Amino acid sequence: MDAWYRDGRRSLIAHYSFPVTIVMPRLTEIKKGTECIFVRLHDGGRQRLQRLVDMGILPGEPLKVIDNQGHGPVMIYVKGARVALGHLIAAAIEVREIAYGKKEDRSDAGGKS
Amino acid sequence: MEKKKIVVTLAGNPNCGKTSIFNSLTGLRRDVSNYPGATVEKVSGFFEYQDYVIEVIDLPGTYSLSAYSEDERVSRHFLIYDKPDIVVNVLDASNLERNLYLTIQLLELEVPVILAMNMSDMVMRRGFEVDYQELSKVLNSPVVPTVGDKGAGINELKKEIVRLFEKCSEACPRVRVDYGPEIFDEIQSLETLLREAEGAFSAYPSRWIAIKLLEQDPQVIRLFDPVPSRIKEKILNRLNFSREHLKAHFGEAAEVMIADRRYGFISGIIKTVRTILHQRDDISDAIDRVVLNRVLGFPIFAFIMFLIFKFTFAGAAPFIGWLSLGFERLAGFIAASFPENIFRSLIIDALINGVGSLLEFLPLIMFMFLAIAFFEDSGYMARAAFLMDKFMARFGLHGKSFLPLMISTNGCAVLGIMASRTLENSKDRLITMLITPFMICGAKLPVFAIFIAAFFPENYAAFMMFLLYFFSISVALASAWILRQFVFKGEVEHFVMELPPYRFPSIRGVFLKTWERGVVYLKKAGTVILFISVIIWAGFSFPIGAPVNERTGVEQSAIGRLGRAIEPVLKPLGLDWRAGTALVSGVAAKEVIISTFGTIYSLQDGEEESLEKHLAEDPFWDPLKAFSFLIFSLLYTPCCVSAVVFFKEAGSWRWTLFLMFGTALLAWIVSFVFYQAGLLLLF
Repeated sequence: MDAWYRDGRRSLIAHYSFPVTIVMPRLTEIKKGTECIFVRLHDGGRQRLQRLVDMGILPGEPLKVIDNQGHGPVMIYVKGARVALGHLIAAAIEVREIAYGKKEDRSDAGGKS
Repeated sequence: MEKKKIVVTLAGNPNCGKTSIFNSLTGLRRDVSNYPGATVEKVSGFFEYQDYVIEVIDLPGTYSLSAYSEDERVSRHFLIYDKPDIVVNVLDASNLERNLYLTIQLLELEVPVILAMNMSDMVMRRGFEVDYQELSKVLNSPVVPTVGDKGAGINELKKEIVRLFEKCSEACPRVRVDYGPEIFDEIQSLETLLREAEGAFSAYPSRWIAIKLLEQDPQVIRLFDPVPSRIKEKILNRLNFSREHLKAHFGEAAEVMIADRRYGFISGIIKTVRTILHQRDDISDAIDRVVLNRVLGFPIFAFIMFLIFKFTFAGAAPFIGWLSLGFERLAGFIAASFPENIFRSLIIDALINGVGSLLEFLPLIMFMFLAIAFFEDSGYMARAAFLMDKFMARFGLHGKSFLPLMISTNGCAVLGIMASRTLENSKDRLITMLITPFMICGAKLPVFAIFIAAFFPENYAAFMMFLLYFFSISVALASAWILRQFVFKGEVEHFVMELPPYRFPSIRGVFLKTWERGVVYLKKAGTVILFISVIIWAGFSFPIGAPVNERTGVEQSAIGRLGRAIEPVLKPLGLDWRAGTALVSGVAAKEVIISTFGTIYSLQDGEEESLEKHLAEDPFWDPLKAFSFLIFSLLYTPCCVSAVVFFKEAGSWRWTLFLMFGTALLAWIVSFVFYQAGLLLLF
């Protein structure tokens, strides 16, 4: 059997989609204290996105993770306030990590978990 | 001279201190009703100022006016159709980024807005300075700095309300967000088409409709249903074209781009009006590091819950004592001064008893809300929901479900059900409301206490109580899980919640909140409890010919007969007609279980001994039967006040009946299993 199934989601996607898609991390994978940028919301309906948008969380917005214990909700700092996001919704938020010290760096810093 | 009337509504985000502004404006004269056809509560009050009577209506706290939650729909509907004269937008001045988002939407609705910059004392403390005059100029609306908790700026606000009312009764100032040329063009062309539709949307500003269409607002799209299909098709075709065009241009959906532009507009405003004086030295982060700490978080949480619990009971105890003493004396006085007849019985047994039980519960509620309001206002309660989310999500519950469950534990399921309103999603709300009555509320507590004291050795009492608590929570969580798995399939509502910065709650704010909730309880539950205590009294006293003070009185009464009637059903649980009678009466209110037993025993023996002793000496009872009774009374049909409130909140007979009969069935099954297993194992 192929080896692709062994190490999780990334290989799976790499196996199925060609050319290779770079898998961006989700908010739940971001460590406490790290800043990242909201890229998009996955498998979310209109209502789910609207809830985020109303709280000031929209694509392109920098989010700073204040608390993330891996399994539970994630607390972020966005637009001058702390917002708690449930695990499920945080897991659907695709983000791009900001390389330390270079805020405008657009190169992919994600993919590691 | 007849005073003129101004209708003012308060709109604002959650956590902006809107309630404190409302209280400062109106004092405590308030009127609570529901918005027509909605479960959202409408709080209104009034005050007089100069030549005007000003009615203030408090809209629910929302972040936005999109139509995705009931609160938002209600607010929007009210703003559009009831056309308040003035909208006072309450903002947390120290958090403008988020708060101005609602402001922008209010301004787009083209209603006259006054900005009350609340918590303006926090601005300096957070190291900012806000130029209110400049903000007023940019938004073309009056801006008043206020501190609702301290009542500061309230007079200026009143003055401004009157001034704006006199100034702009005709046209009100408009502020237009710069959406950029692409979006602007689409808005323009949609507006042109809308104008052709003539009059169909005259209630709304056409620009607002155009923007909402681009945002694909489901409610606005539904407005097109009565429009002639030719025009409708034309507009909707254009809309689809516009949305696709924008999507192609920006690579994002139109609604996201519109929100993005609004936030851009806001950050432009903030740049001009706010100066950062010094780097924010935020104490909240430091507190959060401790309070949400992996190791310390839960002990701190448990400690705070313990504090709330202790404060409630220890604080309320003397008041309850005084109240019950007062009512006893009153009853004694009436008993001594009037001859015995049915009216004396009505006054003593129904009215004084009813008012007594209603009021004796009030200190508990007030003390509990004092503690809860303190932790709510300080910002901790939001953290508690955050901490609990991980745990609650496992049972298909929301982090916010924790609060209603906690309120009803030792508190009152009625309040717990009302507190479920903080859950936006109706499924989450319904599940929380359905399991809330399983908790051991303040009224079940004395029932358990007396039975435990009567049938279990003293050193096991604490353990038994703990066992019951543990059991009630397990049943509640298991039911939530089952409901989520089989009845309400679908995802848990996504927990998105702002965590306000910590602040020291103002004493005034906490007391106002407590007082307000106490009054709401009395108003909502008061009449029902009184009414029910009369029914209960009638149930005991009628049919006439069964005088209350006779030995067989209870057995002959309507409730006694009902108790007898269900005896065969209760037999497998080890219970008899007396337990049945008590349980039937307990549907009125759980504490009635005790008083029914009291009636049953004092009637049979005519002695003034404590119920505990009577129960213990009654050869019928044994610990197993007592335990079966406790389990049954823990789980069975919630008190009718809870059911009434549940019906009001859920708005469905089907679910109310499900709650009432489902819980009774569950209670029967669980008690049956316990009792029969106990019989097999012990005897």
